[in-house]
Amino acid sequence: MQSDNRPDKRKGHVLLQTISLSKHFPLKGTSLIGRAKAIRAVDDAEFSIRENQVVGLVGESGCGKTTLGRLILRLLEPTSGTALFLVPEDTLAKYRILPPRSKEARAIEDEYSIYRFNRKRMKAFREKTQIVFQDPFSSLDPHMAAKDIVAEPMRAHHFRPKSEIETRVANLLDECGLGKQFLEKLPHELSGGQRQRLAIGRALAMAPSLVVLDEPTSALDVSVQAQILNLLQRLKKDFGLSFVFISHHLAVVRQMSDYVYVMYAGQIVEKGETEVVFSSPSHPYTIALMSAIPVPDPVSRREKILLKGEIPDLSKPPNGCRFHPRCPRALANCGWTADEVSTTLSELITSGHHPELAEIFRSPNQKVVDELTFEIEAGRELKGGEIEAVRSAIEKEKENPLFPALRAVKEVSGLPDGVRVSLTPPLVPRFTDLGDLHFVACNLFPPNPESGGDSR
Amino acid sequence: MARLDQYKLTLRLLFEDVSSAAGLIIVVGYVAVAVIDAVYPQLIGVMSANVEIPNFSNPVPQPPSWPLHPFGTTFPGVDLYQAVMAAIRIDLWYSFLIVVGGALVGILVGVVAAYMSGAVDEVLMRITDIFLSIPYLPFAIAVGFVLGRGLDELSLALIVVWWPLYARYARGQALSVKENAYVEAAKASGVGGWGIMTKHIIPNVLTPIFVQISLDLGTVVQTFAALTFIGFASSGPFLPELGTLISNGFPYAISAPWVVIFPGVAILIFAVGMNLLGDGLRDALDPRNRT
Amino acid sequence: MIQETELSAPAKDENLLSVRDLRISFVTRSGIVQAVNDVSFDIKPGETLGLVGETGCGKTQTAMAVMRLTSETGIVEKGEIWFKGMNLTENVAKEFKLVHKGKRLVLKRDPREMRRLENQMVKIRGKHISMVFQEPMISLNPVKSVGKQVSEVLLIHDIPRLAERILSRHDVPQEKIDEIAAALLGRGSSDDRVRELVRSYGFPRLEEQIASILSRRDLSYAKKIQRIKELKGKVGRSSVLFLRRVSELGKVPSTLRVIDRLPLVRRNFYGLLEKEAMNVSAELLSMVGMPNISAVLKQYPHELSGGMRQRAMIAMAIAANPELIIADEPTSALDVTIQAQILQLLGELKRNLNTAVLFISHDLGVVAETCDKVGVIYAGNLVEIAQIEDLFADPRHPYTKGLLSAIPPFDRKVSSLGLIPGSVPSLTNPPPGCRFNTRCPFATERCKQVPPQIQVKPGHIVRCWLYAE
Repeated sequence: MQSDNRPDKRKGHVLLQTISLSKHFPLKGTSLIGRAKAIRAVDDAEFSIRENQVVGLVGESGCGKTTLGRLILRLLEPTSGTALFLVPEDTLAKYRILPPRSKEARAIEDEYSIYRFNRKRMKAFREKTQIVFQDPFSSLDPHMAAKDIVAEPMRAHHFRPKSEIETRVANLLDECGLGKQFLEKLPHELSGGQRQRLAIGRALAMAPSLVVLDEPTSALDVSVQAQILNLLQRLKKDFGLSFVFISHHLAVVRQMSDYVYVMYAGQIVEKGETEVVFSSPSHPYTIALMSAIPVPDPVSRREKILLKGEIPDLSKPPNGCRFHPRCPRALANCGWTADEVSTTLSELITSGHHPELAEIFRSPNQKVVDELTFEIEAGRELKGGEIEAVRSAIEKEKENPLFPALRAVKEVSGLPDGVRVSLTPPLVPRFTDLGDLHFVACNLFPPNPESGGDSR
Repeated sequence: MARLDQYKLTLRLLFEDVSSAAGLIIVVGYVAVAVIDAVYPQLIGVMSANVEIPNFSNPVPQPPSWPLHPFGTTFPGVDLYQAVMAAIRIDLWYSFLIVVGGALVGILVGVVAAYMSGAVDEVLMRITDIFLSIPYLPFAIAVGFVLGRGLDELSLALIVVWWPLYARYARGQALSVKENAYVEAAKASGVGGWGIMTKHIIPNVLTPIFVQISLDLGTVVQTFAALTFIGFASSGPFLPELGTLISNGFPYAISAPWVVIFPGVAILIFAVGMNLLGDGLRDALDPRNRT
Repeated sequence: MIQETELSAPAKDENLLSVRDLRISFVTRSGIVQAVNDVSFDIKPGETLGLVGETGCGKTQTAMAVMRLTSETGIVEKGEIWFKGMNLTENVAKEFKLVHKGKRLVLKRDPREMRRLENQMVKIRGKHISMVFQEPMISLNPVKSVGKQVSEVLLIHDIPRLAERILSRHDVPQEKIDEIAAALLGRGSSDDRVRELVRSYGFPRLEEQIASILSRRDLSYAKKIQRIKELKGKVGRSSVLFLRRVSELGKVPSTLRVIDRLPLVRRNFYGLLEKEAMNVSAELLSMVGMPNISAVLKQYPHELSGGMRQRAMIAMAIAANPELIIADEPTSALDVTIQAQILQLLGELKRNLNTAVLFISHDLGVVAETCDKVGVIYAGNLVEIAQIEDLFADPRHPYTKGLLSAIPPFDRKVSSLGLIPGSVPSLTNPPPGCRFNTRCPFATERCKQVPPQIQVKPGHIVRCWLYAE
C-alpha cells in the first residue's frame, strides 16, 4: 500500500498523515426519532504532508478544506478516523494493513495519533504546529501590542531563558519585514499586509515544523499578496517549514505548493503533484474549477465549463459521487436517485422535445418506490410499441446535457397503469492511481486491478 | 505608547460632546469630593468626615445661611453641608463596591459559561436565572432581617442581586469574542483555557461592560439611597449617608424643605452625571467613531 | 511642449456617461483624505468600463459619486459628471463649505442645494442608473420577499409599463389568445418562430409578453401554454379606466392613491399593478437564470444561496431597463464556479439589453473577461485607461506593469512574483505630483509635479511623465 507522497529518502517518516478522517457537525433541533442529521463537513479524508513540503488544499466554500485544516491541528475533534504525527514509513505501512480495531492498530494509534495525545504531548504538538488565518483583522487580539502577540506562544510554552524572548521577538518580526517601530503597535494601527506579517511572525515563534495557512492572502490586495507569498517561500526555505496552504485561489496554490489536494463537498476528489494535476486535471470538478478561473488575459477567451446548480447541502449530500448532479460527464452509476431521475424525466416529458411522450403521459404522476425505482402513471395499460417509444426517447436523450440523469435508467417495464423505471445502482468512486502519484476519485477512472480498491 | 494614545483619544471624544463632557465633569467632581473627604476633609470644610456632629442646643432644622450653614441644618442640628459632603464619599464608596463586586462575579460566571459551553454553561446560566428572578426589595429586607441592617450587609444583598445582570451581559459578549480567530490562534499557540479566558476574552469583554458599569453606578446610588431611606442604616446613628439624611429629614420636609432637597439633589445630579458619562463612553468607545 | 490630451467635451451625445476631473475628499479626524483626484473617463452606450485598483484606491467612491451616494463626510470638491447630456454635478460645489472648528475642519452644507441635487438624482437612480453591490446579503432587504423587492423596483420606476401591459392584454379578445396558444402547442419554444407567429396575429405588445413567458426556463411547456391562455385575466371596466389614466400620467395619481388605501377599493386598482409587477418579476428572475422561480418569489434573502442572491440583485438592477448599471465587485463574495455563472449572465444581459456597465473590481482576471475598456486607479488617480486587449498586451504605466506582474500566473510556476516595493501612501498627505512616485522604479524629479494625461495610442491614455516628449 503506497502512501501519497514520494518517499523521502532522507527522513523515513511522514510529518502528518490522516486516515479516514471525518468530521460531522450535528444539526441542532433535528428529530428525536430516526437518525440525527449532521453536516458531513469532511468525509474519509486521506491527507499527508512531509517535512519541508508545501501541500495545497483547494476547493470552494463548503468543501471542507478549512475544517480539514483545523482537524489536523486538533483545533477540532474528529467524528471518526485518525491523524498520525511523525510516524515512520514502515509503521504507517503496517497500520494500513492492520484490521481497524485490533490491538496492534490501537497501539500504533496510542503512540502516534494526535487525538490520543495527553496534555503533555499535546503541548509538545502545539509547539511544533501553528496556524495563520485568513482574516488579518480578527486573528489578532485588538488589545495586545505586536510584541506581545508574537511572544504569546513563547510564554505559553515556557520559553527559557525569559530574557531572550524580547530579542527573539524582534528578530522574528524583522524576518517578516516588520522593523523595530512595529513592536509597540496595536493591530488596528497596521495595514492588512502588516497584520498578516505579524500573524506569520507569531506562527514562527516556537520554530514549528508544520504551519497551516488558511487563505492567508485572500483578504489582501494583489501587490500585498505578492509580498506575503514571496515572504512565505523564503521562510519555508530558510527555516525548513512545512505548509498546508488552504486556498480557493488556484493560481496562488500553483505557485506555492509541491503537492495539491482538490476537495469538493467534504471529500478529496483529486490529488497529486501540483504540476501534474494542473497540467492534466482529470476529475471533472477539477477541470471545471480550473476553467472557471478568470484569467487576466482577454485574448485567451477560453471555453468555460459552466457548472449548473450549487454546492450541495452537506446534511444531505448526493448519493454516490457527490458531484454527480452537476457533473457534465456523469455516468449511469454515479449515484443517481429515483428522485433525481424522475424529476428529469418529467422535465423531458413536458419539454416538448418528444410530443409522443406528452401524448402517452398526459398528466404524469410519479411515484417513487425506492431509491432506485419509480413509477409513472399513465392512467391505462401501455401497448408494447408505446413502451418502446419511451425507451427510445430516453435512449436518445441520454447524451443531452440537459438531462444527464437519464443515463442511470436501466430498465423500463410496463405496469397495469403505467411504467416502472429502474436505475443503475450507484458506485462510490474510489481513488485510482493515474501514475506519478496522481490520484483521482471518479467513476470515469475505474480503479486499477493491482491497487485493489484503495480506500479513499 | 499606543495604549496611552487610546485613552487620550477617548478623553478627547468625551469632551467633544456637551452632555458627555458635563457628565464627566460631574462624576469627576463627585469623586474628587469623595477622595478629598477621605484624605483631607478640612479642604472642603468638613470637620469630621465620618460623623455628623449634632448640635443639641439647636436641634430644629435651620434654613441655609452663609457662612455658617450653607445648606442649613437638619435634625438634630447637624450641619447639612458637611453631612452631604461626607455622605457623598460613603455613598460613592458603597456604590462602587456593589457595582464592581457584582461585575466581578458576573463577568467570571458569564465568561466561564460562554467559554466552557455545554453542561457548565447550562448549569451556570440556570443559577444566574434563579438569582435574576429575585426581587431586590424583599430580598434586601430579608437579608436585613437575617444579617442585620447595616450598610455592609445592604451592599452584600445588592451585590447578590446585581451580579446576574453582568453574568448575562458578559456571557453574550464572550460568546461573540470567542468566535474571533485570535482565540483560536491562542489555542493553537498552546495557551490553556484559563489563559485564554483571562488574557483574551475578559479584556475584550470589558470595554462594553465598562459602559454598563458606568450606567449602573447611577442606578445603584439611587437604589442604595432608596433602601437606606426605608430603613437600612449605618452602624452609628450619625454616620452620614444620603438616603439616611433624607429619611431623617423627612418629617420636616414640609416646613424645612432644604433638609430633603439637598441630599436628594446630590443623588440626582450624580445619577444624571453618571448616565451622561456612561452614554458618552459608549459612543466614545465605539470603534466607528475612532476612525 | 507637452501635449496634454484633450478629452472630448463632455456634453457630446456619443457618451452615455462622462466624468471630468472628479475630485472627492473626505473630512476625517486625522485630516482631509483626498480619495479621488482628478479622475476622468467616458462610457459609451452599451460599453462596459472596468475600474480596477486595490483597496482604498477610490474606485468605489468614484462610482458612488456618480450615483450621488457619497457618504456624509465626503464632498465632491470639483469636477463634472454628465449623464445623457444632463449635468449631475451642477452647483455641487455650492453645497458645502469647510469651516475651521478649532484645529479641525468641519463640513457645513447648504440644505437647499442638497435637496435640489437630491431630487434630481432620485429620478435617475434605479431607473436610468442602477447598482449591484458586492454583498447581496446586506444589500437586500431581509424582511421582504424576493418577489416583493423586485416588484418594488417596477412599482416605483416603471408603473406605466405595467399598466400598458395589462391594457394590451385587455384589448385582445380571448378567442385570439386561444388560437395563438393552440398554434404554439407542439412547436417547441424557439424564439424566432414564436415571435413571427405571434406577430402575424398583429398584437405587438402581446408578443413581448408571450415571448417572455415562453423563455422562462422554470416552467414546463404545458404550463407555459396554460399561462398564455390565462394571460387575459379579468379586468373590470373601472380598472381599465384607472390603468388608462395611470398610463397617461406616467404614475398613479395621488388622489387615487389615497382612495386606494381604503380596504375594498385597494384590491382592484393598485393590487392589479402589484400582481402585474410580480409577473414581470418572475420574467426577470428567469432572465437572470434563477432556479425555482415560483418558490424564490416568496422566499426571503436569507433562504437563498449567495449566487441566487446576486442573481436577485441583478434582476432588480435590470428591472427598470436602466441605461447604465454600476456593478461594485459583484462577484467578489462568490465562489469561483458561481462567479463564472454570474459573469456569463452579465455578459448575456449586456448583449441582450445593450446596457452600459461600470464594473468595479480589484480582480484583473474578472475585468479581463467582462470589460471592453478598463481604467487603472492608484491612490485616487486614474493612471491608465485603455481598451482591454491593449492594457494587457501593452501596459504602459509602471503601476499597471507592477500590478500585472504581481498576479500569480495560472498556467505556470514562477520562481517569485513581481513586487511593487513599499506600500500605498496615506491619502491625507499624499506625495506631491504623481502619487506613485514613492514606489515607482522610474521616478525622477519631474514626478513631483502632476503628470499630464498622454495619449500613447488611440483610446489608450496614460498619466505618466515617461511618455511626455
